Amino acid sequence: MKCYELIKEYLESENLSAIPSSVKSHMTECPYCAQKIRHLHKSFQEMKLSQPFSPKKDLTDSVMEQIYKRPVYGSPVSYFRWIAAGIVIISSLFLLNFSETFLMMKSFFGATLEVPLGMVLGLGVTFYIWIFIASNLVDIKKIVRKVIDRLTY
Amino acid sequence: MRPELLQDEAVARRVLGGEQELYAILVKRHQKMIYSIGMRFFRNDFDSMDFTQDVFIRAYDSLSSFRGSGMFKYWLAKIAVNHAKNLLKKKRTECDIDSVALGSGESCSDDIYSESEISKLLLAEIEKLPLNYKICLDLFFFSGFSYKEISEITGIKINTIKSNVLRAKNILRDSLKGTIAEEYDEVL
Repeated sequence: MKCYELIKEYLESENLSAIPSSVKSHMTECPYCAQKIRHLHKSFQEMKLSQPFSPKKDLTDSVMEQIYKRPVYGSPVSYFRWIAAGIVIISSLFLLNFSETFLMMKSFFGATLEVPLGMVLGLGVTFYIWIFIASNLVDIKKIVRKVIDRLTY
Repeated sequence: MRPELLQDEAVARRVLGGEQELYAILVKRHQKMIYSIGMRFFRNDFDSMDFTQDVFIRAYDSLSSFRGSGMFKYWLAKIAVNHAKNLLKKKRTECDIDSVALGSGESCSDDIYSESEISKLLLAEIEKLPLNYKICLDLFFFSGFSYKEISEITGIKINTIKSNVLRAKNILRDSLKGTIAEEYDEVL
């Protein structure tokens, strides 16, 4: 009776990976149950490592072919746009010299106002690079890894 | 750490971070599970292959809705079962879920079962059950989902799942009597 109840307890357990302690202690006393449960347990573990059906061929390549046609998560801005934006920012900073912006600022803040172009340019480029790195951290990490790998091997 | 060694959830987060190519790891790991769900519903290799590809593409498209705190495998299985049910409804073929449930005795002619002797014994018994129960038992025995998770994936009550799992375990216990493996154990 005890054997029947303990095997039932084992079978009713939801966790296939573990044998309940009461069943374990019974297994030390009863070789018949120990063999049955050990065998069942092994079978359940084997099943967890498999699947009822297997595809004839690996589908990874055909799935990835479709995935690569889809947008990449996390980097909505393409490199072309980044480069274009960078060129616009830097050239507009240089063109600032030829515009009337400084004259307007002087009329507003006073004739003694001096804005060093180098500082404006530096700040603009720094902000641009900072945003670029933050937005493309994953790709930058990859490039850094590749460089480190090349240097180490 | 190499991406192949990462858990599913970490891989999914990295795919969301822009490493699209890492999605291949998730496809490689779970294609058998999705294909098996497909085989249960569509009962042929061609449709199941299509279904598997479809599920992975759908999963990728909705990856942003995946909450990293849950299990990726569970999230994927839920997408697969829902998609399979919808496809069956759309197709309105003779493989309709309810009719398959009634005509449970037939088996697939070109099934590609996994090779383990133990799995085959249980699979032969599972084949005799209605479709909904087959899915539950596959998800429990082969994919390692809990009763609660299976209930959420399939919409079947926990108690029904419990009783079917117990029934299958008893069948397995009886089926193992006299198998080569058990005789081997007895000799030892």
